[in-house]
Amino acid sequence: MDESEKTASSPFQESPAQSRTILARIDARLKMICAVVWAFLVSALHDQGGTFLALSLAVLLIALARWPARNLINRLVTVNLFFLFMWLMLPFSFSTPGQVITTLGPLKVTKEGLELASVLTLKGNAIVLAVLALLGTSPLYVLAAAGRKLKFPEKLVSIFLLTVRYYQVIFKEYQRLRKAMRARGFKLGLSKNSVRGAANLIGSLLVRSFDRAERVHRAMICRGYRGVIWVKSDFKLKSIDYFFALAMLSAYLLVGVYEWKL
Amino acid sequence: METLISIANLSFAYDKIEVFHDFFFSFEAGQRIGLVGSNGSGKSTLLQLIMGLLKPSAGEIELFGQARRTEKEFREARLQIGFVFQDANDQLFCPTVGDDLAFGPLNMGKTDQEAEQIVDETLALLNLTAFKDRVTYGLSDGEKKLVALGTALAMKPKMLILDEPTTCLDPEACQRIASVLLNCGLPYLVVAHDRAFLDQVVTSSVRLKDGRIVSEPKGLAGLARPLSALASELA
Repeated sequence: MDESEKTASSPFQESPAQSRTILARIDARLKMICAVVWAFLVSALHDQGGTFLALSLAVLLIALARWPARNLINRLVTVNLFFLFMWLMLPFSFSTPGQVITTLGPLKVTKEGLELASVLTLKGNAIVLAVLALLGTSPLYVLAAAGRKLKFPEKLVSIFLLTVRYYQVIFKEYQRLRKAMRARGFKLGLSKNSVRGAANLIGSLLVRSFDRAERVHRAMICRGYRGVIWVKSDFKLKSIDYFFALAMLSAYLLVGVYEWKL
Repeated sequence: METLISIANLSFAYDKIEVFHDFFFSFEAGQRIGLVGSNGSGKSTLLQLIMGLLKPSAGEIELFGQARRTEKEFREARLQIGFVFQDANDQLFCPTVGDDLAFGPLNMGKTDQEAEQIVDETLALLNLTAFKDRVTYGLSDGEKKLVALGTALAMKPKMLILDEPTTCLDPEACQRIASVLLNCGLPYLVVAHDRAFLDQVVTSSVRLKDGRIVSEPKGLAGLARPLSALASELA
């Protein structure tokens, strides 16, 4: 592992998407609902054509969000690493009924297996791109407030808000500990000493986080906390939201009609 | 003068390590007291006992003239004491500065508009008006501490309790904390190691040693303070 600490990139940094795009101006509640419907719809697709269409629409959305290309590629690589494993397994997994295209030693590559792997990959990317474009264009605390308006359980909303806030703190603590370890010559590796050091680092982070959680809770109680973390929110559907809802509805219909020939 | 905090015959132990035994302490309205003592002398423990965050094994804690034993009794009292924790990261947990300042008032049943007004007032008091929509974790340590103090003030408490408000802060940030404290018009109990800071903000100091209050020999500088303040007012 690279020992130099690069600039901390964390999943909870403010979104890199442009804040002045159309998507950023859409009501976060609406975007949340659209993202969920989209995910369900796309995961129900079977046909290669339908998934291609869905992927193109998702690409259109991410283009609307004007997501920075470099950041997008990094994220997609992570997602597609997961699909890479499917490509290693699926093409060889339809041995009995499948139509064999070619053989690699004892393994038979089937047409059905290849199709399934490609459909899954397309579907996954279509969902990830659309969810990034829809949810990534709202600040995290606005999403929390939107979740509350959509009647998400209060505990989930609180956990989400606290995670966003304390991820940074704990990550910084991790970096401090890590630096202090390196100052004493620690190098991450597989030696007994190194593994023990890494385990102590993780243990120490857990203990510190637990202690901090207790202190934070006490501080919250001192300010009258009784189960609700208030976040400023004033959601109001504007005409642009109705247009957007209409556009998304047509996208759903388009994909649905194409897939199921309604 | 009204007694805000009165502690009698208090005992407390962490597992088997006794911190307080038969401890007495009182704090009157109008007082500004510095609480000093070496590490582990029980300063933070005392503050948490006062807030009802720790339960004593014996003794009485009276806040604002009423005995407090149950969580419910303490909850009512806590809202009247602005408590500033040692680490501002523990205190500030909302996404933005404005949300954090509004948290206490909203818990006390204020409407959104009322809370908003309190937030604006508090920010003006702290000279941080431009910080309302700033993300809390992006602030400097000094700014975090000021906002943490603001979250206590926003509850319009009858008094403040501060646990080492100047640790890890640069002189300029200390100065800003000091000036907010001097101008807040509230009595307060402040734990600090920074002698110069204490001399500036408190009228007297007490020392905690082995679970007892002992007289503070270097408190003379502190005691001289009200006279000089009086002199400057007369001038």
